[in-house]
Amino acid sequence: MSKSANSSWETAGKPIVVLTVISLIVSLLLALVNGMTAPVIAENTRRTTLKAYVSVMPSVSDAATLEEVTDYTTANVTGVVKAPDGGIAIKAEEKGFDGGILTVIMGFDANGAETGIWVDASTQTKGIGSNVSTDDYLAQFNGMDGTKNIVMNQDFDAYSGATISSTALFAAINDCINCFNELA
Amino acid sequence: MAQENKSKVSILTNGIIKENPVLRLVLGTCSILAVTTAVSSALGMGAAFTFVLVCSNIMISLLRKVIPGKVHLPCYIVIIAGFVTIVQMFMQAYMESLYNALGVFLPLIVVNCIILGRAEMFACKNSVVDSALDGVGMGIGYTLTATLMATLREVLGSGTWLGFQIIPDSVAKISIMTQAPGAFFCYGILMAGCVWLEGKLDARIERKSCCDLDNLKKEAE
Repeated sequence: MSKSANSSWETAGKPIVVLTVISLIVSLLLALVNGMTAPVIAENTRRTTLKAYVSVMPSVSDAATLEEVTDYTTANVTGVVKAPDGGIAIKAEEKGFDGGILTVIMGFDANGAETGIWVDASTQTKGIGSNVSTDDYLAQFNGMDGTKNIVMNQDFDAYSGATISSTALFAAINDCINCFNELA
Repeated sequence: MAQENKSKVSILTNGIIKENPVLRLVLGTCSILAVTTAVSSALGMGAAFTFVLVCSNIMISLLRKVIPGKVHLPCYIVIIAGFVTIVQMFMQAYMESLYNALGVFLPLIVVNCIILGRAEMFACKNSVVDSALDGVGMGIGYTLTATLMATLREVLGSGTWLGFQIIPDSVAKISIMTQAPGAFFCYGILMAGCVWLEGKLDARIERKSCCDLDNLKKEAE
């Protein structure tokens, strides 16, 4: 091989080939691992969600009695279940701090009163935004009227110092309320 | 080259005090300041970090003759990001509570400068076994530092250790310790402690700055 051909291979060809091969191998590995873990993760998520649905509906003790509802159009709502006694649990997701998804599940009784609220703020900053999911803070929503939209710092307080996560929480609660009104 | 009969033990223990990645090399500060509000997340982060560091060190050491200098950084990042994503998937599937506790800091291991730093400083010019030992040592150093700092912050700031109540609720807590300024206080104190300990153990090592390293390279050529 001539010297110039060799050096152009060394400076241009080889780097491209090596980087491509490494990327391909890593992608393949990730695809394999994803294939292994995706079903487990989906199962975990389903279990957590069902448990959360039950936790916001005091009249329900067994997730098997819940009936899934799909005929809703409210934006950002990702799931609705109905209990035999007419209670409804609605799951909504809103973007919080830095694009992290804040998930809220809200339970309503047949008359629209709030029966429970469950918040997953694990994507928010630890110790700041994640505080919006603490029981102490969420206690203020207990028994609120679930048919009227709420305004932050007017009807209920934002978590001091966590405005962005609080805004997402209030938006998600309003999504749930809108969806409940749509279905009612 | 760095082949001055370094014993395997010294490679392993380097990361704990002498070249402690956090306190002496001052790398990975971002994650250390962030995850040390609770001992449990510090331990989890340490374990995930150690795993990724050992794996990427081994991989990069294996490929050190194959990876061309021109694209070494993209290659390293792809390898490291691959391992981090694997850890993330496994953790989400089998250790969900830890996954939720670490939250956003887990994917951030990709850009943790310690991992890239060890790839650049050590793994790319040492054998596989040495690189693996270096990874383990650095991982222990990181985990120990994180745990120590988290202990200080959790006990003083929240009155608990690993979630157990240690200081009764009636005693006022130093809540600044759970916030960013408290992290910096702890960091400074631990850093000073590490320098003091190093002086006690043996003679202070003369440290070279980055510009000196360039000169050293030139001398070597």
